[in-house]
Amino acid sequence: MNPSVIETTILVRLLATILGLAFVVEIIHMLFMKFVQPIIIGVVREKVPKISVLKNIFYEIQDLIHYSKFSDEVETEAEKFREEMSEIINKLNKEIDPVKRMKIFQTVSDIENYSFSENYPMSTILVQPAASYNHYQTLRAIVAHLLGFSIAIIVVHSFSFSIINEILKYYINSSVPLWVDYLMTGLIIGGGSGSAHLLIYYIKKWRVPKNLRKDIFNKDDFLVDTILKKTTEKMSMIHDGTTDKWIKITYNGGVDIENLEFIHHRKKDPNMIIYHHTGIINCCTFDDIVRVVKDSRDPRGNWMKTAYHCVVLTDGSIHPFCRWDRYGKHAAGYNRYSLGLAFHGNFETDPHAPNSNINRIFGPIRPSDAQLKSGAQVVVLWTFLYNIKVDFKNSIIPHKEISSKTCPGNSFPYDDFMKYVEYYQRHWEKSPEIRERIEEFKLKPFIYTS
Amino acid sequence: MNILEEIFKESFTFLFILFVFALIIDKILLILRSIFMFQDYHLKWYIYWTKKAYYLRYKFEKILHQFYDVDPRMTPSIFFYHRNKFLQSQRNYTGTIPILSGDLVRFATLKSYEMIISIILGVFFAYAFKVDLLKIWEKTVLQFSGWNIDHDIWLCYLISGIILGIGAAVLRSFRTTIE
Repeated sequence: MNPSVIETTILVRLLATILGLAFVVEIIHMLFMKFVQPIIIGVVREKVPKISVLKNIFYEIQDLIHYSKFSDEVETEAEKFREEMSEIINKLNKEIDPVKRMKIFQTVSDIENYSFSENYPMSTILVQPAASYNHYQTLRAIVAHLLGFSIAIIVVHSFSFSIINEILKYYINSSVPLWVDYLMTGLIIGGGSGSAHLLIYYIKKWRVPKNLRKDIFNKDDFLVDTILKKTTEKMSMIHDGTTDKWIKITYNGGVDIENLEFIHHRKKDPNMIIYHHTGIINCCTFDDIVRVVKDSRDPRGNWMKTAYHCVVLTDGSIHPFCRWDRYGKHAAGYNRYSLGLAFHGNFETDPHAPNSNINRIFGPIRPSDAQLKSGAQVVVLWTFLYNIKVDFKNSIIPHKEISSKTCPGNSFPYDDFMKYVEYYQRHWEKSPEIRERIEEFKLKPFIYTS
Repeated sequence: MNILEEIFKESFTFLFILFVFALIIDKILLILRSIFMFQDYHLKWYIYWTKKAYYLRYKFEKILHQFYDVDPRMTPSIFFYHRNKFLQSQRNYTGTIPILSGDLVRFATLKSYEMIISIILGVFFAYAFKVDLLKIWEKTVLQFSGWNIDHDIWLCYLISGIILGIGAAVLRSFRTTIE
């Protein structure tokens, strides 16, 4: 027989001992952790923030205020540019020389760069920053591992169980110092106790049938679930509309409410609605749109915090994005007193236009009916909320009317959209039920500037 | 003795030794990892991992530039190889745009470092305790190869160490799967 081979009976005996001791260690470990855990929580909990933390908060607020002032400056500058631009366009119309015309055209597009561009890079990879670890969890992990290891060494020592020497005796007929053996065996038993912990956890978890367990252990959770479910049903009856005439929107301030708390303030409520297309490939979701916007920078290199106030996807679902009591960056020079509505997709088919959807690479070239209807409902809701006049020449306009861009594209059905807006406007004005709902909607937070 | 019984005993011994040393290496790595996490929190290393993610994005975009004319919907498939490594598919993200996660960059780097450390530890234990896993197969499987193990004892320790290190990685992945 090969001298390096150990008898199976010896190996089974060793395995059984390891498993048994692992259970012993795990139980002692669990007991100790019950006492140690409150101490860790006490260490981690910081009752009074340190001065350095307060300083950081102060600097953050200072930055935000600075950014807010800066945004205002940019917006004022953009308004000036808008006036300049109208003069330049007049000049452009009068100019005949093609070289001079080209130069003037370049100036116009430079001014336009101050608004959020719909020309998105197609291959952008977004980066999600790494999160910091949790203080409690990291401390607990270290303490748990070291405690398990220490208990295992004590148990191994008290049972005089040395697995390495036991193996080496049969395997190569040699030995190691006893303290090294206890250390190594402690590591084995401590390591094995993790598996024992899992086993104990599963035995605990599955000993009672699932349905009974829910009633016995999570009685409170079960009650909360039931209440929440009933409340949600009731809420959906009110806000999602018992009839298909009322808008299906859930507005609670949109995305990143806190980030806009100190910046993008409006001086007064909006009096204009500007509609856009997102220009992004149609298969993207709302999450994608938000991430693409937030990963973009304005010409001065500042990160875009927000853009449109609402985005309507192809299926007609409405997604509030920017807070309605703050201005978004969607139309240069008009941001501070306008609301931005974006139809998801790219409806520009002119091959000479930049970022054109000529090959339908961005998806359909026309918004869906559901999308148009939902968009019209949002526009009508805003007209009621902010007393905006339904005027397609002055107060409800496409982005292209106030910029050199083609947004929302030459294939956008402007007439159909206007008809839908007029239809909902007429219908909602007559319906006392919907007027009541609008009044309810006005009570929501994050709608008015004051 | 029956040859099959002999091979069974050899396999059992092999697996047992592998299991024992893999447990030791695994436990050491667990302790090291918890210390690393503790340091990561205190020294704010998450900033470094975010920077690393931005650097990787730059590298990927350089590669993507070669695929500039490809249909943009194909972009995720270009990253298929890296999808599980760096690209975000967790936290209920429903989108289709590739997102390079700083957390996943940290995780992937840690995993590769763990593999290297576990192999180094394996080789160290193999040498320190004279664990020669190939010797177990000497009388049965290796007798036909004509290889004299005693002449290449260093090579045997090295191979045994690598086996122990990889065994620890297998044990770890097995444990995390169960968890």
